Amino acid sequence: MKHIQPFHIVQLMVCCFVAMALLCLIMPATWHIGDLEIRTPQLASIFGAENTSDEEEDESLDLIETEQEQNNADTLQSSKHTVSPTVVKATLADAAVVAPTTETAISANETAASATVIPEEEDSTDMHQFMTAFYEALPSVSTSAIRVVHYGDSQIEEDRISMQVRRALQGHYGGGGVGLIPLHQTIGTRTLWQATTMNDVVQNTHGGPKRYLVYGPKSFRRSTSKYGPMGQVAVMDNALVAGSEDISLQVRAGVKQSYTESYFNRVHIWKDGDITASVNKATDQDGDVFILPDSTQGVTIQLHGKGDVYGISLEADHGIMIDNIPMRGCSGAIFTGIASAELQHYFAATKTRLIIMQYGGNIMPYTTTKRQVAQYVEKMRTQIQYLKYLAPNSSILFVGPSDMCERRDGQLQTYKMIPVMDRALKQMAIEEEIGYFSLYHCMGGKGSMVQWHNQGLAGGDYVHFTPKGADKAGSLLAKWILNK
Amino acid sequence: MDFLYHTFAFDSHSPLLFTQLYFWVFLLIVYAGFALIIGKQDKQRLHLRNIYLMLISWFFYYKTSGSFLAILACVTFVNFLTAFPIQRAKREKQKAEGVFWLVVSILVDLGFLFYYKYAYFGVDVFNSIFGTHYSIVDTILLPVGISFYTFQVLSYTVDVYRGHVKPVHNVFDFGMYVAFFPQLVAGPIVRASEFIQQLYRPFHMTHKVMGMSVFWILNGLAKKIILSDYIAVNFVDRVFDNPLLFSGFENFFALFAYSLQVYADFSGYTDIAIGVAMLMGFYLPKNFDSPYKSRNPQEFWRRWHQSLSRWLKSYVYIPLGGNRTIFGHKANKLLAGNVNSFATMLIGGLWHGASWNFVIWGGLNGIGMIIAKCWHSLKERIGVEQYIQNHKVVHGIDDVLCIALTFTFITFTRLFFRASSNLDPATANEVAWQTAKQMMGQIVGAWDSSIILPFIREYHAVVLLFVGGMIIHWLPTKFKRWYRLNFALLPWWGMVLCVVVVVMVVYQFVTADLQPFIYFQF
Repeated sequence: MKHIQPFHIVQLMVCCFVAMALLCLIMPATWHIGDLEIRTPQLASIFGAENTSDEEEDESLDLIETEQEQNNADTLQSSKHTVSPTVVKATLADAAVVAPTTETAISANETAASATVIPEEEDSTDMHQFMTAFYEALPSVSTSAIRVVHYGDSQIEEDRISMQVRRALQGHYGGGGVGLIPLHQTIGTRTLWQATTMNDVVQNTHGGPKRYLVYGPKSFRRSTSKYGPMGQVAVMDNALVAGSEDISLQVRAGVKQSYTESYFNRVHIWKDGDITASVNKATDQDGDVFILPDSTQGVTIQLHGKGDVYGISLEADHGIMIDNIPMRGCSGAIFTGIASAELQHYFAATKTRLIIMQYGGNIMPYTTTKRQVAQYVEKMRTQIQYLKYLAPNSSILFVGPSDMCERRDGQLQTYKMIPVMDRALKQMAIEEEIGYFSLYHCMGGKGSMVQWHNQGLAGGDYVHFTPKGADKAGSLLAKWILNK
Repeated sequence: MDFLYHTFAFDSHSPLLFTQLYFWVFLLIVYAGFALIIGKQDKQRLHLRNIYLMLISWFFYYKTSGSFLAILACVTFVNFLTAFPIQRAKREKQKAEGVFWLVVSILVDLGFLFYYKYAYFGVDVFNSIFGTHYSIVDTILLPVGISFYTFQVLSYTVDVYRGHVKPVHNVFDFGMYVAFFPQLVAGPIVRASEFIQQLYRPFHMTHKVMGMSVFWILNGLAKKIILSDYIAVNFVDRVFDNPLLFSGFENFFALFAYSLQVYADFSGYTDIAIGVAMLMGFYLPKNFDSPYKSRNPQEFWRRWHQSLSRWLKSYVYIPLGGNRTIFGHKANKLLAGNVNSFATMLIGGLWHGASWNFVIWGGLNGIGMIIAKCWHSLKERIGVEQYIQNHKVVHGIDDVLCIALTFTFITFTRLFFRASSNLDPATANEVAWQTAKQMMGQIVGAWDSSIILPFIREYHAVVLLFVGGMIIHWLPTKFKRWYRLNFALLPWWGMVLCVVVVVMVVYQFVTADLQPFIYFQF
């Protein structure tokens, strides 16, 4: 066997490097074998070429706009971006099913979209000025309760973000409980443990009473638009709960530590129909509000009869209550699909003084043109006008999409339309005189999601926060609200 | 100036990884120096080579871990120095003195390990037991590879105490053994008896060995970048970060994909380490032997991270009493073996990380091993084993079932392993437990079969890689040996061509961000 000297190995290594370098020089950055795209490392990128500048990106936006004028649904179907089918399913359904209920609005949006002007630069208007109804109500919380309703997409699931806002606001102004919860918890939260029993059988996440949702898969839609303030309703019906219409719901604080949300002294059951309710520790009752003698961390609620349950609110008699209402895969264009009566009643009865809407992230992977941005913004304008009409005494705060990254040319980069969307939503907020919080800018702007991921604050999809990241985002939002 | 700074200074965001071009340029330069030093092979040159490799290895560690190099240096000197009085005491039959120096070296080694790795966990446990609220004021960062080199030096002093090896007389030779850069940060854990004699052996290389080295390097790179990083970044990490966003099926698939990812990641690192060491004429012990071909958890641990399993057997299981005694008392063979292997697995779990989840993971593996052993002995007792052995078809079915069951069992124990990884030690327990609970909740309660076909369409690349990876893993050993050998016998130009092709293929899968090796954190 031939003996190899170390310098032979050096020669072999050098040959490998030279062969690779030649290949990098000769071959273009991308080339094709049939449909297969092959990338070749380029010497320039190996030795540290700079990223595309902002100016170049802006030019490329216009280029994309002229090349690709597809609507959202088409883009969604053909997108190469890998998204969980669970999320896609919800998003597609949201886009497809909301359409009929808001058909007129959308066709009007498309006309309006062409007229929408997206500012080229960030507007420096102080957005707190549009939230006076909320700030003016704050002095009253020492004796009575006001409410903040936080609607959003999957970023706020598990009581993320809302939890930090709640802790900050309740820390300053008092209050207790986690606010409105569904009758049956299908996605766990960090702040509340909840178990539903039907006919003495504990229900898993697939079980529980029949649920109808205004968002998500079409199979969850109901014949009427009575979905209530959560956009979801649990229907108690003999035909659906074989042999029984008894539901028992146990709730207790989900964290060991004592936070304000862990304690409540009121249980308000939002229901309609022939349902009788009882709460084990209640000593008094005022309509559907059960009054507990002292603050508690857990109760058992019994429901009997037939009808709709829109939610159960765990709250205190004064201070700020904050509802966390996540809608997976939802882009936010669903409120006009909810009947006005229940929503209006809820906002009035709970003295809702702030409605937070946190949407936009779900459509970013499928939004590639300014026209699509404008269309989305107009859809949201319609939703905001609807909510303003239903809750005239409430401020509205729109929380724009976070930074989100995708891989382009082997590098993690912010979705091209996020800065555009952020500017467009803020412009719309100014025009509608509502608050706007730019989560994107607060995170650090372009590419910040990568930094957040590197610090364990964001997941490997470069879209969602980790629990720690959600805490940070929530704290930033709370700080912004409090720093008027 | 900037170039020099980035080349030689430590940057925590850019550690020296086998998957970076920087490393391969570094290796080329190091190897050129190595070739110059080797030249004529007299004894003087061998010492020079060892000094050179030690210094290079320390630079490598500095680039990976910065000032933690001081700990490596301290551990090296303490163990080098304590080996002499241990041996002298043994020679002069002064048992107490030998034990004293052995304890000194163990306390120093484990002192660093416990402080850097287990401080948060220790305080957490203390607070839970005594209801106190102590906390660690400073942030403690874990030095890369500390568990690996600590076990390596522990084995050295214990082996000197036992008389299995003689102390190394040159501090540079010893330093090179402790810090040899290919295996420094993630093993294999090389025991003194397996390596020290190689320090004095002249360089000898054949074409076949050179080809084998290149094969292991390419094999490791492909495993790490194609199978591990791609699957992790494009699927597994997403699910583990937010399990509730995915259906039960997706969580279930993520668990299995993680099993492949962690194998490809760790064995990929080991393959590269073995290949690089082999190019320099050193042989590192094998660390993996197709572990997912195992028929039971015990066999799995004989095939998975073999250097750790051997270490635990020699320095934990046997001192605990093996299959003879429990706490020094003679006991039934089966009982003693089971109790001691369970205790060993708990310690093995803790070696991986300071979190209850790792203890649970170790404990589950221990329980799995005990159940498998009892089941096997029951099958033998009632004659089923005999029947299976005598019938080829039944034997084949039994093999498939056992392998599938073991793979599934190991995969589910990894729920606790993965959920504990990459976490801030201060919050590791809480977050890990939460993740594990959420994933199990989704698998049990939110299974959605309608998602399977869209999932395969959407994640076809991940699914194909998973299936392809498992098929390659399950290929017969003989076949794998055949293609390895044929590669090793290629002419040099053939190897260059293969390197270019493999690098090009691997490049197609390179993810945009840097993915450190999973076992770097242990």
